[in-house]
Amino acid sequence: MRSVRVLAIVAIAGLLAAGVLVDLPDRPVPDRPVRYLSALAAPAGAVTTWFCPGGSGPDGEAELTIGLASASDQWRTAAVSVLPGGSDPSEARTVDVEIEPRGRMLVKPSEEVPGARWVGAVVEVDGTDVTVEQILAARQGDVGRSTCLTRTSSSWLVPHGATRSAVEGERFIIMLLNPFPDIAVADIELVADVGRDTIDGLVVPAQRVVAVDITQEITVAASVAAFVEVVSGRVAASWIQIADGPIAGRGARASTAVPGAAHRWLLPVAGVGAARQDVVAIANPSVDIAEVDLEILAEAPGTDVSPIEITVRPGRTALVDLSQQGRLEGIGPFSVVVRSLDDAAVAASIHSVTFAADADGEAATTVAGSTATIGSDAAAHSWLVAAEAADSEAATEGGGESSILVIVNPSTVGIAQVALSVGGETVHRLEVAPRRRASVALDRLGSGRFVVEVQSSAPVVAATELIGLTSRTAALGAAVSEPVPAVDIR
Amino acid sequence: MLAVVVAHRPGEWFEETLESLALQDYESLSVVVVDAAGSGLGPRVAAVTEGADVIDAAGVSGFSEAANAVLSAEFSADFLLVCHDDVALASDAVSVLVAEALRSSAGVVGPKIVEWDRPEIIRHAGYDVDRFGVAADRAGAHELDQEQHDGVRDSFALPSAAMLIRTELFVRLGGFDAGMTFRGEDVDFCWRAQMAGARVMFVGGAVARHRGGLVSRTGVDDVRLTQTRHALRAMLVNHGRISLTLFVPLAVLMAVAEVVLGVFTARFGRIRDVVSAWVWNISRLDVVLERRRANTHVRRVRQADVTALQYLGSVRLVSFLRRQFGGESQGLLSVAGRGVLGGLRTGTTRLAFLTWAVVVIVVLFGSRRLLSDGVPAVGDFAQLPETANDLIRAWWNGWSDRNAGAPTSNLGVLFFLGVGGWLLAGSVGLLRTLLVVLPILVGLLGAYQLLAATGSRRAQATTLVAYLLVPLASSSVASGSIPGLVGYAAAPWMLSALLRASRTAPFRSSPGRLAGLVPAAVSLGAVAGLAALVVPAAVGLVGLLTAGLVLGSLLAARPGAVGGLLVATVLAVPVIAFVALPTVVDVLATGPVWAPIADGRDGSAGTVSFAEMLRFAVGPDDSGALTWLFAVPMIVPLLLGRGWRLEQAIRLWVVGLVAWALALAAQRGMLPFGLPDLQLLLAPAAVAVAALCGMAVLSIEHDLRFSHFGWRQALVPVMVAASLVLAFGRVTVLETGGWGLVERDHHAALRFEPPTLVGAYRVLWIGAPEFLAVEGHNLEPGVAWAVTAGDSVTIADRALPVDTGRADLIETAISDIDAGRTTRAGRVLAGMGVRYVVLLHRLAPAPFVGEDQAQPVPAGLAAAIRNQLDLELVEGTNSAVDMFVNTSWTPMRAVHAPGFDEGVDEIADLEAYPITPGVPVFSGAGPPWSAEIPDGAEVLVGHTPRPGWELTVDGETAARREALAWARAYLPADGGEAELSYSSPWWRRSGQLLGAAAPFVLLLAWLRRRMDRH
Repeated sequence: MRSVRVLAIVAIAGLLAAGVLVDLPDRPVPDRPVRYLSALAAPAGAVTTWFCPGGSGPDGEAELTIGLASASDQWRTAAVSVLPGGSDPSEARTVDVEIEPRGRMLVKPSEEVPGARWVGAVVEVDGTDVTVEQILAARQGDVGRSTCLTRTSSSWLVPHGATRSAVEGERFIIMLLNPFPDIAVADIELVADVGRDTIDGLVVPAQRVVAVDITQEITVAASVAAFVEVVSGRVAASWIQIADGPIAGRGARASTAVPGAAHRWLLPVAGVGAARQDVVAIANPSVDIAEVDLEILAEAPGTDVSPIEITVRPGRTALVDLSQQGRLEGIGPFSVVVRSLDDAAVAASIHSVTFAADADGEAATTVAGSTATIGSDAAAHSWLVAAEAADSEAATEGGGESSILVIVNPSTVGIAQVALSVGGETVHRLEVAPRRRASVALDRLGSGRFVVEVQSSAPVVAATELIGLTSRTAALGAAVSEPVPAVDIR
Repeated sequence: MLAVVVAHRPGEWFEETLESLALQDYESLSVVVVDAAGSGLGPRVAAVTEGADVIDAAGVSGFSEAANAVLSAEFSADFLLVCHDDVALASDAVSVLVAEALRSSAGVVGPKIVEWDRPEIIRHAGYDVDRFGVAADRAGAHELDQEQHDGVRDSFALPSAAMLIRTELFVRLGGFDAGMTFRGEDVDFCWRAQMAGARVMFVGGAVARHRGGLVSRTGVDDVRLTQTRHALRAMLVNHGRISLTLFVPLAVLMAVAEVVLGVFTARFGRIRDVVSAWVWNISRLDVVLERRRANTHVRRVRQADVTALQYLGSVRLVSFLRRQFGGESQGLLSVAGRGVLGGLRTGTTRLAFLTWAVVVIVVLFGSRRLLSDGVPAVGDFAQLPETANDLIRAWWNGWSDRNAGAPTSNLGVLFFLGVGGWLLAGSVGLLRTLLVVLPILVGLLGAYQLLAATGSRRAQATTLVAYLLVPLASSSVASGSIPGLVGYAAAPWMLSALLRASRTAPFRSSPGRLAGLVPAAVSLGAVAGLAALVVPAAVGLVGLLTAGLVLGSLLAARPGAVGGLLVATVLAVPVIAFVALPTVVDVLATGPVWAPIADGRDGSAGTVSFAEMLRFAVGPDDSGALTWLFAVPMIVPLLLGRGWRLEQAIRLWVVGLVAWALALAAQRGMLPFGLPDLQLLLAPAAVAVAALCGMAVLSIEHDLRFSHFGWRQALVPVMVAASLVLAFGRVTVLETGGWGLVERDHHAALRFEPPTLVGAYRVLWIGAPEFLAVEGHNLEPGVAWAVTAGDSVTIADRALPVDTGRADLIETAISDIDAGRTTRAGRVLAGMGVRYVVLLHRLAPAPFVGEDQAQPVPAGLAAAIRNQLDLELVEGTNSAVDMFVNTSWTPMRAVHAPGFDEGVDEIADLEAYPITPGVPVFSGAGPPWSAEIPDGAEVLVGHTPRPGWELTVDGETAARREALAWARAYLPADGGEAELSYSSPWWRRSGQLLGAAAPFVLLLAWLRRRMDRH
C-alpha cells in the first residue's frame, strides 16, 4: 500500500506538473488568415463592386465620367448606381449598362441626376474581369484619372493638397461617398503648412456623396493633408485638386484617398525633366517621428541611386521635390519606393506637373498637364489596366511622347516575368529585374481604348501614364489577384 | 391470568409455544387454547400443558372471531394474555407484563417480539398508527436487538401476536372486530382501547419469540389485501364524525394515487387490493355503522385526544418515499413516530439536516434575483415560448426553423418542459428560472449521495458543501452555459453509477456480479440519456469519467475494477439510446454530425490557462487564489487514506486529471476538432474535487487513528482552517443574487420588428460560441454563426437538427462576405429570409459586461459585413452588439407574382437579380399557418425543401416547384383560404413518442424495482 501511495502521489504530481509545462508556451495563434486590406485591391482580388467617389456635374469643377473596361470574352452587365450630392433632392438611380466582350465604355453619371452638382457612383459588375475608373474633366481642360476604390473604410488619408486659390487658382476638394443605406458621420482633420483645422460631425447622407471644399476651410496653404475619421458608418473617399497657376500648373488632378498608413508605398510613375516637377508627399499620421527613405527604382539598367532620406514629424506632411534632387538627373524615368524605417506608418502620393515650356521659356513638351497618383501599398501577380493609345504614327506626330504602361518589380531578389495580353492574346513579354521598373509604350500593345491584362511571375505594380492630346494622367491599374503587402516583399 | 392461545392447525412449533407458557414464572396462569380449525388439538395441548382447556371453535373465520370465543366461555381472570400459536414467551414475560400493567394502570401491554429462530433480531416493538389506520412498526426491518427497545413506553397499538389485556376492557370492547379475520384487528382493538381511556404500553423487558409465516401456512398471500381493507375499516369505524369527513376524502385521494401509480408500474395486484378494500368496506357499511354506534358506548376520551396520539402524516406515503430515497435501517417512522425533530437526535443525522438546510438556503439566497426577476436571456439561457402548449406544439411539429429549417426529432426536451409548464400552472417564467436553479440542486443531491455507501454522513455533508463551493455552478450560470449546468447536475450521478459498477469497496451493492452491474449501467445510461436530451455532448461525460476511473484503478493497482467499468459503460449505451431515442432517430436518418457536440467551436486554442482550469475560473466568477485551498482536503486522503479510501482517492484524482487534461488539450488547440463548453468538460473534475473532500473526512474518521502522533494530525486543523477560509471567501458569490449572471440581456438593445407585422424572417447571429443563444456552426477560430427565426430566440431553437438542411447556403453567404466577394450579401441572405444580421461582441450588453470580457467578432469580418451595401447598421444599439437590417429583405413566406425568381439559377444570382419583397403571409406561430391567397399568385416558402410540407387552398393541394434554386414555391390553381402545414414522417413521430415515454418508462421501472426490493 505504501508503494501504491507513493506511486500515486508521484504520478499525480507529475501529471499536474506536465500540465503546467504544456501550458507554458504561448498559445498557437488562431489560424485566421490575415488579409491585407489594401485600398487599391479587394482582399481576394475578386472585385465586382467599385466605389467611385466622383466629381461634379457637367457645369461643375470636374465633370465625372465612369470608364468601364472589360477583359472578358463575354458580355458583362454593370449596374451603375449614381449617387447625387449637393442640394439636389433626387435619389440615387441605377442604370444597367452592357459591356461588350473586351470592350470599354464610358458612362456620364450626371446624366442620370441632371440637377445634382456633385455625383458619385457605385458600379456593380457581374464579373471580376472588369475595371472601373473615374475620369474627371476639369473646366480648365485637363483630365484627372484614377481607378475607383474596391472598398469603403472608416478612415481615409489624403497626403497632400493645396489651396492657394488666389495665386495659383487652386481648389482642393475631398469627395466622400456613402453607398450604404444608413448615414455616415465623419470628422476631418486638416493639417496644413499654415496651421490646423477640423471639420467635425460632417454628415454624409445615405447613398449620397458630399464634396468638402477644403479651400473654404484653409485658404492659402501650399500643402494640406486631410485625415478623415468616419465616426459612424463607412465611406469611400477621393480628392480633386484643381489648379490654374504658374507653379501649380493648369488643370485637374484626381486620385483616391488611402484608407490607412503603411510602411512601404510604391509610386510607379516618376521622373525629372526640364519642364517636369514631380513632388512626393509623405504624410505621417502617427504620433511618432517617421524616418523615411525614398528609394529610386530606375528603369535604366545598372543605374543605382542612393535613397533620399527625410524625416516626417508626427501629424505632418513632408514634400520632396524630385526635380530638386541632383542625384536624379539623367537617370531617366524611374519609380519611387517610400519606405518608413521605423514603427511610424506613413502615406505617400506623387504629384506631377508638366509645363509646356521649361524655366528658360523653351518648349519642352507638346502636352502640358498635371497628374497625381496615390502610392500602392501592395503588389499583385495580376493586374488589369485600362489603356488608350493613338497609333504609332499619330504618337510620333504628337512629339515623340507616348502613353506607357509601367511595371515595377519591388522585389530585391526575384525577376518578374511579365506577360501582357490584350484581347486575350499575349502581345508582349518582358522581364523586370529586381528593384527595377520597366515601361512599354501602349501603342505597341494596341490602339484606341483597350484593356491590358498583366500576368507576372512575381508581385508587381502596374500603372499607366497616359498622354492625351491635351492632358496627361497617371493611374494605378486594378489588381485582380490577392494583393501582397509591399512591406512583405523581399 | 388466562392465556388465550388461538391455534389454527399449528405445526411442530406448537409444543414450544405451550411449553413457554408452562414454564412461566407467573404462578396463577391458566391456559386455554382456541382450536380455530377444530382440528383436535386436545391431546397435543394436554401433552404439554397440564390442565389447559381447549375450546373447539371450528367454523370461525379468522383470528379475531376465534379469540373472541373466550368471551362466551366462562373463565375468571383479571388479565387475558392473547397470543398466537407460534409465539414463545420468555419465562418471565408474563410476570413482567403484569407488573407493568399494574404499575402503569395500562389496559393493554405487549412484549418485545423477536424472530423465532434469530432472537437477536427484533420483529415488533409496538406500532405507530396513522389516522388512516395504517400501522408502522417501530422496529426496522431486521433490526438488531441491542436493548434499544428495552424500556417501557406508550404505544398506539401492539401486535396481537402477544398482548396482555385487562379482561374487563376486553369484554367492554367486545373483543376484537370479528370482521377483521387476520391483520389489523390488533390496531383496531388498541385504537378502541385508547378511546375507552386505556393505556396501551409496550414493555421491552418482556420478550416473546414469534415465528410468523401465516402466508405459508394458509397458502394465500392476502397480506396487502387484508391490511388495506382492515385499516380502512378501522378508520371508518373509529374516527369521530368530524375527523371522518376530513380523512375519508384524503383516503380516497390516496387510493386513487395508488391506483394510478399501480397502473404505471404495472402492479395490478396492488390496484386490486386497493379497490377491493374499498368495495369490501362499502359493501359492509351496515356493520361499520353498527360498530360506530357501539363505540359511542365505550368512548371515554375525546376523539381529538386519541388522534393526537396517532402519526400526523401517512404511513403509506412515508413508506413509499423512504423506499425510494433511503433504506430502512430503522423503523419506518423512527423519525416520524418520534416527531420530525426527533429524528435529529443522532449527531450525524442532525449534521446532514443542518448541512442541507444551509446549502438550500445558500442556493436560494444566491438565486434570489433569478427567482424574483427571472433569468436574463444571456448565453444559452434562451427564452421559453409564451405558453407550455407552445412548447408541446414545437415538440410535436417535428420541424426546426434553425438555420434554413430542417425536420428534427431531437426536440424531446421541449415535451418535458411543456409538461413542466403544465405542472407549474403555465408559469413558463418560473419554469425557466427552475431550469437554471434546479440543476444546481440536482447536482448537489447527486454529490450528497455519492458517498452514501461509505455510511459517513460527515463525508456526505462535506462532499455536498465542497460541490457547492466549487465555482463550476456559479461559473456556468454567470456564463449562461446550459452545458455547464447539465454537466454539474449529471456528473455526480454518473460517477456514482460508475463507482457502483466498479464493484470496489465500499460501493459493491450486491453479491452477484451481474446483479449489481446491470442496475448501475441502467442508472448510468438513464442519467446520461436525460442529460443528452438537453445537451447531447453530455454523453461524453460517461467516457471521461470511465477513462478516469479505469486509469485510476490501474494506478491504484486494482485492475479488477476495470472490467466492470467498461462493461457498465457498454451496457449504458443502449439505455442512452433509449432515453435519447429522438436523437438516435435523427442520426440514423441523416448520419452523425459533430456540430451539435462542438457548439460552433473548432479545434483552435482558447484563452483559459491550465491554472485557471484547475481553479475552475472559466467564467466571470473567478474566486481567485481562494480555490487553491481545495488542494488541502484533496491531498489529505492521499496522505492519510488506507485501504479503499486511498484507492478511491486515487481514482478520483485521476478522474479530475483526465478532465483537466482534455480541457487543457482543447484550450491549447491540440485537438483537430471542437469540444463543447469548458464548464461541461470540467464537470468530472468538479465532482472529483468534491468527492476527494469527502474522502478526506473519511480518511480522518477511519485512518488517522492508526497513525502515530505527528504531522498527520496537523493536517486536520489545516484542513479545517482551509475549508473555513474557502467557505467564507466564497460568500461573495452570493452578492449579486444571480451567481454572477448579469442583470440585462441583449434583448433591449436589439429592436426586432414583430414578424406578425412585417412578415416571417430569420436572424443571422455571429459571435463567439459562448455568446450565441443556440448551438452554432463554426465559422473560424472563436467565431460561430447561427440562424434563428422570428424576433426572439427560444429554447426551441436550441435543438440543433442533425439534418442541417440548406445551412450550407448561409455558410456560403457568410464566407463570400468574409472573403470580400460580395457587397450585396443582403440580397442573397434575403433569399433565405434573413432580415437581421447581429454581431455579438460580448455576452451581455455594456456596461454589464466590460470590454475586458469582450470577444469581438474579428475586425475583418465585421468590416466586410459593414461593406455590404444592403445591410444597414442600426445606430445606437450597444457597444456589445452590431445589428444590421437587410434592406433587400424579403419575407421567408410571401406571396409573389408568378415567375418572381426568373433568372435565378443559383442563389448567388440574387446578387444580380434581387427579388421583390412580395406580400408576407403565414407570419404567426406555426406550422400550420392559414391565410387568404389571391388568384394567380405564387407562394414562396423559404425552408429547406423536405417531404411533409403541403399547401392546400380551399382543401386542394397546390402544385409546387423549386424557387430561388433552393426553396419552394407553391402554385395554387386559384386563390382562397390557404393552409401551409408540415407533417412529420411516421418514423420520426414514433421516435418522438418513444423518446417522450422513455424517461417515464425508466422512472417507473425504477420505482417498481425499489418497491419490489422493499
